[in-house]
Amino acid sequence: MQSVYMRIIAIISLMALGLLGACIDIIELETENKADGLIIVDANLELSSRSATVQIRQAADFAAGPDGVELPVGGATVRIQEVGGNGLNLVESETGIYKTEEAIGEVGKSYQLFIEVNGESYESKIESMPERIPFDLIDHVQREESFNNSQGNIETQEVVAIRSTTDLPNNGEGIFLRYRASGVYQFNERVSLNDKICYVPERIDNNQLTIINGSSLNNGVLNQQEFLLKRVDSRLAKRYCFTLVQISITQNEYNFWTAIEDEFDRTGDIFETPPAKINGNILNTVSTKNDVIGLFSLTASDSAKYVITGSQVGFSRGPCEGFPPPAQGSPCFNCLQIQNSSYQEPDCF
Amino acid sequence: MSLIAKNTGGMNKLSRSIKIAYNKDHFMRITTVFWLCLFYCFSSLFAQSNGERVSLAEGLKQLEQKFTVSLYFDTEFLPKISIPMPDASDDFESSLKELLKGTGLAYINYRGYAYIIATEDQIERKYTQQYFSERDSIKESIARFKEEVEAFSVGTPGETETVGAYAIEGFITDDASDEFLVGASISVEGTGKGAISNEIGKYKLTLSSGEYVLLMKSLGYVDRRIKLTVLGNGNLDLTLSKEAIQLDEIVISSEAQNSNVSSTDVGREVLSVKEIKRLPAFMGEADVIKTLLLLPGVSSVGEGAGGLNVRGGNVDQNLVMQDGMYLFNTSHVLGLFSLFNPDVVNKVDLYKGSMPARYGGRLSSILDVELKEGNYQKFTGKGGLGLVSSRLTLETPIQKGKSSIIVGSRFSISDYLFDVIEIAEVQESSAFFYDVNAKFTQRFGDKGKLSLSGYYSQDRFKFDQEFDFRWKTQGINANFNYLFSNTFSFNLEAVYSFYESSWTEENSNRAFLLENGINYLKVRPEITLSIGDRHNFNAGIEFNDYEVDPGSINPLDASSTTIAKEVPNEFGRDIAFYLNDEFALTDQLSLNLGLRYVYYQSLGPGEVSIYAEGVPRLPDAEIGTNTFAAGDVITDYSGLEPRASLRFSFDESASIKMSYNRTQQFINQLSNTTAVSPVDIWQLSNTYIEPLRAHNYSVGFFKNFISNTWESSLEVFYRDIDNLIEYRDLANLLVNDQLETEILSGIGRSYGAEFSLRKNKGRLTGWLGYTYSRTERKTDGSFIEESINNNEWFLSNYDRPHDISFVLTFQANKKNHFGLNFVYSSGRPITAPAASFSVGNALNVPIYSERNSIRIPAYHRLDLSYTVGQSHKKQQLWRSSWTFGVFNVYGRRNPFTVFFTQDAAAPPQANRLSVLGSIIPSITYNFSF
Repeated sequence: MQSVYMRIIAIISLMALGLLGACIDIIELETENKADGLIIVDANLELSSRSATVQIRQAADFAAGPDGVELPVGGATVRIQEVGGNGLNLVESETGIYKTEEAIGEVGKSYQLFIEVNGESYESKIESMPERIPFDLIDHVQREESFNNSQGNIETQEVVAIRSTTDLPNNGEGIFLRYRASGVYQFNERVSLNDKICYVPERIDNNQLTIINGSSLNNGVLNQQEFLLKRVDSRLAKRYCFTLVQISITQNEYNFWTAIEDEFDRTGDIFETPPAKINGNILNTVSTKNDVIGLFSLTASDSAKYVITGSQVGFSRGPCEGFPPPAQGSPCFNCLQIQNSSYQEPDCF
Repeated sequence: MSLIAKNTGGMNKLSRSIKIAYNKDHFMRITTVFWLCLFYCFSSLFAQSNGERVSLAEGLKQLEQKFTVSLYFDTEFLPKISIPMPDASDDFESSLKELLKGTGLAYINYRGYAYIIATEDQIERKYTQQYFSERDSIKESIARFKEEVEAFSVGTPGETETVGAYAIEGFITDDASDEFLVGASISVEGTGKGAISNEIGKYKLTLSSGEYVLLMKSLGYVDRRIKLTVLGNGNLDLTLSKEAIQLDEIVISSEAQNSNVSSTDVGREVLSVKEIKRLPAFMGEADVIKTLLLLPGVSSVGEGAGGLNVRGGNVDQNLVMQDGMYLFNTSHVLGLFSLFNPDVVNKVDLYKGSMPARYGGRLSSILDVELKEGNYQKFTGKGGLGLVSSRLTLETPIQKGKSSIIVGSRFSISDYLFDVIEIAEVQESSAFFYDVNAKFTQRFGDKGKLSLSGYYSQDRFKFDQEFDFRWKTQGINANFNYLFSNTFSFNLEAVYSFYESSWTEENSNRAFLLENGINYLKVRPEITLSIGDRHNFNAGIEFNDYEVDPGSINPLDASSTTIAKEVPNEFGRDIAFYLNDEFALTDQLSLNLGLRYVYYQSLGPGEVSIYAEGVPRLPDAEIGTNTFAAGDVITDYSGLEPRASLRFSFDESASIKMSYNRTQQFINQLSNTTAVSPVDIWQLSNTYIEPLRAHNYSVGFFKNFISNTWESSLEVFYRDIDNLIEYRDLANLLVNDQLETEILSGIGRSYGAEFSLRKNKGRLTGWLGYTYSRTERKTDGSFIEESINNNEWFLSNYDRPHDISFVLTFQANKKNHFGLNFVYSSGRPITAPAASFSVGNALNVPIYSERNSIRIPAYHRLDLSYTVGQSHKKQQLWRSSWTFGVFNVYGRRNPFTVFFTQDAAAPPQANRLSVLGSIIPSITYNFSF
């Protein structure tokens, strides 16, 4: 009986070896590693806002990673044209950043972006301003989530998932949404004479893309849609204030973000669509050079504050505990050493 | 135990048969005893014992029958005398001595059960015990034995005319199963004449009176050489034997001797199952497709990927047929195993260069897998147990000699093992498959044959809760052959088949079920006509009717974000007329000329989008639709496909060949993934997707050495393709009713050279193949959205310039053999990032460079196998063997692909995905009875 058992185990082991032989590991691969003068255009016109901003930069060499510098591109002529209406020239407020305070984005009106720089001309597709979709309800749920860590291994961590419930007009047809989020946490200095509290703002949605096609929703109801995951750590131990933005976008922008989301989700499996340059809605009109990645974004945003307290997440900490120490100095005695921190208490605290 | 290569023809002339004997007491040796006998008297021994006189041969026959012994002799040695009927003595040897008294003949006993009868001088000087002992050790070839002794004659003595030609015809069959051998060749040495057995195994030769030496060959059988005396018209049925392995006589050649030199085919590869089974295989599963990948000019995207890339062609540019039935997916377990059950496969033909006109519908190659017929004589079976699957094949006559059936099945056992492994992901996974082949064959005299075959396969590949693929293929085939005369035959083939697949994704917010499929009907009547010795015509009509289900997608539950969608079915049909003539202009120069004309229709019902002119063809450029009713012709295409190949022989062992083909393709597999997947859809040519058209050119030099022991070839090929399908960046092909907006039309070219050196005979056999090839494509769009890499030439994702395969098998002894494969190929191209950008909250988004501009590391792998206990004794009731294998011996993590990941706060990383990145041992038990 023993030998039969061992034989079965042996067979299973062999089988496992055979069918679980797949693996992923990190290798060195020499790539072309050159941006080749590719320019990046990040343009936005917000509904009802007088402000429109266009940033023009040069793409960074990929191998440079997060330290890569996207050099601003100055000297461009930038204009936003309302289809059938007036055009507005944007002024370069600082190198590579072009602004106007005279724009008025109106729902249903169409706009187009024109840029001339370095002898090339670029223009966007004609985009129509979407309508604003306000949050009906925001809530959160706490659960465990698996992440790939920097070594490529999977680790599980407690998170809060922020959710939106919204009843979309027109059964969601033609409605496209995306989300942005930022947060502020409070940091108590080590107990001292002053016992000061800093408020530290942070971006918390980097590379977290949640995009919604209203047509795919059941009767156009966005029901407890998770759009942000925040790891539970000591920053949530006291009180954490989220600023959440639900943004209506155009279909072209939705397609752009979908492509980026797919890129972020890439796992290399054999049935995956091969990668390709992600183009936005801006093209070179002078030559057939595919030398621009640009997004002309018409948005209608709804913003809301949402607070989670330490007791809600079941997490507590003492002063000056649980943070990765800043590179220099000790925030325990001077919390202003934490980047962007201030003693100014935000509204939601 | 003895085997008799039966001489069923020649009626009662000087027919003789070889007896090949195996000594079961000498397990490690196979002894071949030649000699021939011939008795054609079938009267009873005792019925003639009343003083009657009979011929010596008849007397011997009666003696053999009475004592149930085997007598071997050559009738040429028998004096033409009559003798009294043998007495009914109880002692065989006494009776034999009495019979041979005064004849000058003597006998020698061979291992207790057989008696060799020859002249006294021969017995004394040649056929001694030592002689047979030497045969065991020096192992002279069977062919040599046959050449020495085997002789036949046809015609009637005395009626022979010195002028004129006589027709010699008959069947060639397997000596064990009685199965007709199709495509067996007979060459008449020194004359340049020859014949090929037709669809019902019949051959015909036209020879003037005289003596000839005929050489018969058929894939997987021992070559047989006979002497033939032609005295007049006559029948001569011949048999070939899947004979036992002789250590010095292992013949691994895919084709018969020198046929690589003498045929007009360029780039044709023929494999026998025997050959396939001898090679090391992944998880011990002998595999047709994986074996083809070891041949020059044949590659794939990577291990685990389904399909073949032949001479730079896409996977869907190969017409893959199993007994005439098209297969739209050739893989089990995604791509790790192929659909073909090796136990029911008879022969594998791959046309990668020249292409006979009877084949069409694909640009690059034809893979024609022929299934076996059941055994016409007795019930037999074979099977195997492996780590992945088990298989069993049974065959039996229904009416002995007239009808038979074969049923073979494989089924995976992995799911049962997954359940035992206590890993949640594994337990939730599945790699299940099974397939069933069944074939019934009925002979109608010596004129006709009807075959009915069916195939069913089903697959499920599920990984945890991530994805769940299912696919299945079903088909039936009816084939009828009729021989109206020796020069004219008719064949009718009808096939109906369908393929369907699904993809379920359960564990996501877009939980969905996606389904698609295709079915078709094929009818092909065909005639074959021989005119004189030099022309072999072949003509037919082929009709194909397709219905494609491009797919539907449905959410699995109410919370899914998937939007239900269904794309209407598409319809199309084509009809082809073809004519082919293979003829010998001179003994040195042969031509094979063919012409195929195809007319294709895309049919309604359907809607065709109309797009604005002067702008990229994108969904938002649609300005209207045209609606077509059922049966309406939406669009049609037609074209001629000339085919030509030429062979010039320098001598029997060297030739140069050239071929040209024009090919068209009206159905395409749309696949914008690294490897083809089971759910890729098939797309018929339509208003916007024109048929693919290619010109294929090949030139080759072929040279054999040392009596075909070594074969070598050097072939050069070039192909250019029009209307090649390419895809926009990040194209979405699934359930898309405007596929034309995701597809780009381009041109393609592939070219290269293939060198092959093959050793066919001896204990050590194998081949070395090297291929240098390039495959490139180019778009010609007027807009950025319709161009790839600025309309410059770019590499296909399976371009591998250097490809080497080294295959070796070594027959250690009669029962055990060793196999080795080594493969090397250049890394394939991928698209890699060159820069990055950030926009909004998306940081470090990679910007990919030009398509397929970077190569991943090269691929190489070594596999070993050792098979023990492989018995080849034909009459042994139960034969079995164990095969131990190691795949990827040095555990190289060959990259299937390299993909890039990035993080907002971490540098980008190149990740290597290895599908089979470890050493994979296997063990397989095979048996037959």
